[in-house]
Amino acid sequence: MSSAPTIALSLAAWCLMLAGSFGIVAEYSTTAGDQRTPPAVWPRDSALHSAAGRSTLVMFMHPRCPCSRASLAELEAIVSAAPDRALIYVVFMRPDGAGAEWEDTDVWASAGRIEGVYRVVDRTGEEIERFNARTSGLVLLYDAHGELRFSGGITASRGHLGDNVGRRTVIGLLNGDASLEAEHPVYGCALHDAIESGSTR
Amino acid sequence: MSAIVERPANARTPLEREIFDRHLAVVQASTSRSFGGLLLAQWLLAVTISVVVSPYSWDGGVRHVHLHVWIAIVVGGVINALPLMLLRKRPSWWLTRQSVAVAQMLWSGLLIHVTGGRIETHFHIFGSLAFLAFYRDWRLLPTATLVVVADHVARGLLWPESVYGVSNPEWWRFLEHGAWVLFESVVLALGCLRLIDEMHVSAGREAELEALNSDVERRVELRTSELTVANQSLAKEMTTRLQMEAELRQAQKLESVGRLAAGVAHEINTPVQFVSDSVHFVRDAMTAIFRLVSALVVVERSVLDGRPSREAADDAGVAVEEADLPYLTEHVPRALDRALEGLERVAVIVRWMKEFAHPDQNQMHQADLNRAITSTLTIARNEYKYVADVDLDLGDIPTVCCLVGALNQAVLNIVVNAAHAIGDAVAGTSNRGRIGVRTRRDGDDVVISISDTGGGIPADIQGRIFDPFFTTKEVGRGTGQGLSISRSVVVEQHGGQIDFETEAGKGTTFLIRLPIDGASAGAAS
Repeated sequence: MSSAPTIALSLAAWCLMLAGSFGIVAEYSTTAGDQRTPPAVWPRDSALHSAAGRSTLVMFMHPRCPCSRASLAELEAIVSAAPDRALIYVVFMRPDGAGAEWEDTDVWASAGRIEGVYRVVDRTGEEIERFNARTSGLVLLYDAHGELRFSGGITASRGHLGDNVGRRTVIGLLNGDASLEAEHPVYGCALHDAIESGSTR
Repeated sequence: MSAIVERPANARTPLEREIFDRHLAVVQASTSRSFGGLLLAQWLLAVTISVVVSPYSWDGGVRHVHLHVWIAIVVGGVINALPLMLLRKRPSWWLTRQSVAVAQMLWSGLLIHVTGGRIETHFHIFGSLAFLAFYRDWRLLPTATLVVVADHVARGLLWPESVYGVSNPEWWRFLEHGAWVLFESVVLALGCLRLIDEMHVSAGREAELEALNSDVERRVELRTSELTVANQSLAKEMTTRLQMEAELRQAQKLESVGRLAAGVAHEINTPVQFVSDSVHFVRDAMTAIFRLVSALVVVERSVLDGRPSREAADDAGVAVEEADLPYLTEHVPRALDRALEGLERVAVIVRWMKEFAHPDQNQMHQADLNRAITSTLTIARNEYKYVADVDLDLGDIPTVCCLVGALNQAVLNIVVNAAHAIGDAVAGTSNRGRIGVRTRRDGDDVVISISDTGGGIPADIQGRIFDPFFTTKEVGRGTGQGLSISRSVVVEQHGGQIDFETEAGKGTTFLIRLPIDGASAGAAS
């Protein structure tokens, strides 16, 4: 340990491992989930009803996804910044064979504490499939005419709170700014298996 | 704020530098141990939080261990790997401290990242910097600051949300964060330097104290050595002195006996003289009587032969006349009585002498002190009889457990002193003094008082009369050992008390108090 080459080698190895480790962390945190094209207009066959005369916001959520807590926190920030500007649904996926205890999580409870938010359990997966959702935390914003105005996540990265483009866009759209970006990456757990399960039912 | 006055580095002594290095090493070792624990605790905490908060990620209904858990385990382990290894192998190495500083700042970065750049988590940086300052090594703070700034620059460029919590921060945001970190680092670095200065001052004081202690110890050792030598010398002198005192006591006793011998000889000579005179008288008387008897035998033969001789009768008559029978009849018995009386006096003196010169004993025995005092006075008679008369008042006292030979010596010394004091007082006059000797019982003690009508003891020497070799007598009259020996005999050998009362011009009374059972004296030496 005392020889200079050994020291240099140890330091170099340490630095490399550190760089690699933080690289993995960054890579994971900034890797967005699967994102498909949602319906451009509000699907009439949806069990969910769009709001008359105002926007409708649908967030798809995996009730056990730890990263989605940040998404719910950002949704609460949106509600605070643009209160009563939209009818808000949070649709929770439930896999085939799961009982009611599936969504009995802190994520479910957190959604219930946001004022004006309707929690919906998609027992069949049909709504998730209908809106082509793949990743927990996906937010779809339809305007008063049922046209899609925003599709994506409202967090900066996986599980990160704080200001981000997605949140600012949704707030801006709700407050009447139509010039904002319509898409943003979404970070969260996959809803994919649920979709497949739901589609088989 | 008190000023730290520090000597220049080149004025520091090797001992001062050694003490400083030792203290700094202790502080840094302690801090290293703390950081070892902190690094492990942060690792454990990160793993625990990740397991509790985000144990799994999900693909629909299928769960996987969340990558956060692996990140906590792997990234935390990587961060800790080098510093923990160095802390274990070389805890006091400078590079160990530097690796600790880097690792701790990386932990700040990781925690800030996983909390989404929460401003509250940034306090971990400031706490860590303060903790690093415990090392008292200011060089760690620039390293830590550089790591923080580099982290903020890199992530600010690549992924600002993870460090600033916003997606589009100002370009100079890293400067703002870095400035605060730099501010604290500078303050802490100044604190480190001040602590180092204080440690130097403290080390200097301790070095001075150690040097002083060392000097004191050296002096103590020297003094101890000197005292040991002095003690040995003193012990040797004490042994010699005790031996000399014993020899002096013996010499004083011999001196007493020698001085008394003349008196005793005189006391014996007087009765021997009149015994001799009486015997001579009886011898002359017997010669005359034998001559008369021879003349009477001639007369008797002449008568028995029938031829009485006138001449023989005349010779017998002359013999009768020369013998002076009436005179002899009266004085021969008297002469014999005087001879017997003289012999008796000699016998008494010899007996008292024998009793006075009681052989030394190692064990106490019951003794009649009245009889002992009588014998002592008898053999000392020649010391006082020309100047004083003795008033003897011997009370009804029990036998006393004592070393009677030693007590005889003690009493004799006082009586002889009394005789000398009276002799001095009556010198040149026809006056005679008185020596009073009295015994009495007082509770469990016997008290002997010996008084004289001498001139008393002057006040200025009263405190010294029991000191060895102290005397006011001319050379040849006393050795200065008498009262010292008397005190030793009474106090040390018998556990008694000896005291005196004196009045100038009237005399002195010595009081000897002795326990009857001798118990307090114990075995005599």
